[in-house]
Formats: sequence, C-alpha cells, structure tokens
Amino acid sequence: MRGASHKRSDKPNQDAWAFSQNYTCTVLAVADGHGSSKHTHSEIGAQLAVQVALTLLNDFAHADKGEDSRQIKQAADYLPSQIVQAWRAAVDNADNGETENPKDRYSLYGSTLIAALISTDYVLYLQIGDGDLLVLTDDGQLQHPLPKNIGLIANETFSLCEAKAIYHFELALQFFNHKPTPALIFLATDGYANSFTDQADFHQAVEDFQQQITTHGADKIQHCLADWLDETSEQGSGDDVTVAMMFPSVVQEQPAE
Amino acid sequence: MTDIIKRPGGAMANRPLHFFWLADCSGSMYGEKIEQLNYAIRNAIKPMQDVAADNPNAQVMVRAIKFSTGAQWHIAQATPVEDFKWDNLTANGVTDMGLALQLAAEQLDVTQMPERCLPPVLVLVSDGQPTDDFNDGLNTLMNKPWGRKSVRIGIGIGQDADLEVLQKFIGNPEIRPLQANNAEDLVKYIRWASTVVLQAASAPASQVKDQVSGGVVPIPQAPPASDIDADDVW
Repeated sequence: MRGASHKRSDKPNQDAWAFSQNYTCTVLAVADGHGSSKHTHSEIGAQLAVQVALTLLNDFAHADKGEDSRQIKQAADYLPSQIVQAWRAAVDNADNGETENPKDRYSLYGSTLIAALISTDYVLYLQIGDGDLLVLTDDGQLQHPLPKNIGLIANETFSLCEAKAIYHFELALQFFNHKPTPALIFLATDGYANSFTDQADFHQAVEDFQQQITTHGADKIQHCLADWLDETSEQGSGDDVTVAMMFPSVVQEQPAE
Repeated sequence: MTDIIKRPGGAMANRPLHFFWLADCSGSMYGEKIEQLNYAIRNAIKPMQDVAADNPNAQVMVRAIKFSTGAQWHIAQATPVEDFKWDNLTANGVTDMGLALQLAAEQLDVTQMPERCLPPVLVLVSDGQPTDDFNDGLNTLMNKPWGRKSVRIGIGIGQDADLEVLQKFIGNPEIRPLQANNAEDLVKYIRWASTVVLQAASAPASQVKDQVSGGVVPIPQAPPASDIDADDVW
C-alpha cells in the first residue's frame, strides 16, 4: 500500500511483494525500495528483488540437493550470493545501459528483501535490510527466526545494492521434524511495525491476523486489508506498508499489498 | 448484516521526533546576543509548528538545554511542538558545553527513545569556546546509538565562536557550522534549523548503512549570510 507521506509528496509505492505456489513449494517475498534521491528507481529494484527471490527459491526447492539436512543447509548457504548476482543481472537488464558506473546503477535500484520458502520438509527464511519476519508457532509462540540486525535504527538499512550485500543477509532453515512448527509466517516492510506505538502492539497484529483469518476466512480478511493498511500508514509511520502471510498447515498464502 | 472486523494490532501512533536546543548562556552572551537568541527562537516557533503540522506522521517533541557554569534543562519535559513556548534565557558564567552534551546524551539512549523514533535533531548555539572537557561530552553523546544517528547543527554567534568545535559537534563534513554575525543572520539560521532541518528529519527516506557518509538525513543547503554592515557585527 502506498504510504500516506508518499501520497503527500507524490512519490510512487516503493514496496513490492510476490508469491508463487506449486506442488513442491510455496514462496513469498516482500521488498522495500529505499526511495531517497540516490535510489530513484528503487520501486523497480524492489519488484526485481521479489521476482528474483521467487525464481531462485523455487529453483532451490526443486533442485536435487541430496537427502540429508546438512546437504540442504550447505546448498542454502549459496542463496545470498545467488540472489545478489541475479538481482544485479536483472538491474543491468532493466537499466539498459543508462547508468555506466555499476555501483551507481545498483544504488539507483536499491532495495531490501524478505522471503520465505515452504517445502514439504522444511521452511527457509532470508532477509537483507529492515522489515520484519515473524512466525507464530502452532503452540502460540511468536518467534523471530532471523537474528535482529544490530545497529539498524533511524532510517538506516542494509541493501541488495551494497558491494558487500551478501554479508548482510540473514538466513535460517528449519525442518518440520522440529517442534513447534510454524502456524503463520508473517512478512512486512518496516512501515508496518513503525506504525505501532510499540513492539507489543505490533506483535498483537500478527496474533490478531491469525485469529481473524481463522474466524472469518482469508477472503474476508484479504478484502479488508487494503483499508487497514491505508489507515495504518495514515495514522502511523506514513511510509509504504506491505504485509504478506502464509499458513504452512494449509500451504495457502494470503499476501496483500 | 455485515460484520465489522477490528483492524489487527494494538494502538498506532505517528513517529516521535525529538528536537533539542542547546543554548550557550555564558557571560559573553550577555546583552544583545542572548536577547536576539531569545527573539530568534520565539520567532521560529510558529513556522516550526507549521512545518510539523504539514507532516502528521511525525510527532515533534521539543526540549532545551542551557549551559554556562554547568548545564541544566531549560525545557526538561519533551513538549509537543504545538505546546512549545520559549521562556527567556539569561546569560552569566562560563561555557560548559561538554556538560550540555552529556545532559543531552542521557536522553539519547534506546531505553529513552525507542527504535521507531525518527532521527533526533540537536541544534547547538554558542558564541565562544568550551571551558570544560568538550571532547568528553562529545564522546558520551556519540557513544549513544541515537547520538550517532542524530542530525546535529551548529550555529556560532559572533566572530569569537569556535567554529572548529562546532564542526566537531556536527561530525559531518558536508554540513558546515553557520556563523551568525548579526541579529538578522541569527534569526535566519534559527528559523532554518527549526523548519528546513526539521522537515528533512521528519520524513527521511531509507539510507543504505554502508553508503552513509554524511549522516542519516540529507540536509538541504543553509541560507547564505547577509551582507555585513560593519556597524551590525557582533
């Protein structure tokens, strides 16, 4: 959802989201283009980021990585560099030779990325930059599967456009033979959490979403979501706001922007 | 009948932006300088409120520290800008600028200022050189997460102002200290800090951490100094 302050200043929505689903896996991704004057094409960069995440995570789920968890983990360790490489190639293509210096080119398209992949055996989470990835487990715990980025306060973020982007990725792989299992996976750009008075009020939102989708059904909540996010940005941070959710038990996604 | 479903989550709020005046009240400020500083800040209140009102997603909270022999809160309570009033400062004593920075630093901890806040703005106004351990105060300030991320503006009053110290306080080569050599410039610079700087800090776009060289908020150019009439120079 385009943020209240972006509407006032006539800026586009610089968030993006995407999902894909097939017999093997479901992938969900959100991204937040940086938006300052150094990142004038960041809304495109964010779109490219979620598309790249979908493609590579889908390939990852389909690839023959061997059977045991150690081999899958080893393969997952390559994902950050693969994503950065693919994102840069996509930016090169989108820029079409407009910007000669590669550093400047990637900076123009700078974006964060948060993604989750669910396959039959495991769930994989990854993130670069600000935003939130939360998991509500089947026994009611709210968890942060990825470590918090220390030192990212104010409006600073890590980005796909950095030279050392791969070192700023956080990645976690959880196998479903471990308990508790995720009941809801919740992804949001930072404009959402920043709109709540404090973290408890934000966490309440994740729990409320699960409760309301269970009570009213996903279609009804999807229908309400645009108005809620509009209200959230207006009364809160003013930033673009995107939330996306997956329910692993039904392997059915409910994303909305 | 259609069910009305409650919006998920707890209370929502705009993002706090803490604005600090740090005002030199040493004896050398006595007379016209302190009078003009009081006038300039009071004169900037309405434009500051107007800028804040234009961005309902930021809640601007104002505080002020005065320093001379020691440092004290002039406005201790973080005051919503719409309620901000200015009581006159008086001048007397030495220039304990380092203590003023330490006092500000106490409020720049994440326990006092949660992460969802916008970068705070600190405006330091001084006509002289610190008489205490300025570096110690600055280190204390910069050791706080919000101290490092703050937008720091330095305004020197008169030709004896230590611009080197103000530049160290600013800590950003892209922002130079402003030197107000007359009442007109002081009013202009105080207004610029209260409006243009406030506006920039209240809606900052994301900055890539490893690419931040000049601070987390790009600050627009300050207005130029007026043509100096020798009779008006402090």
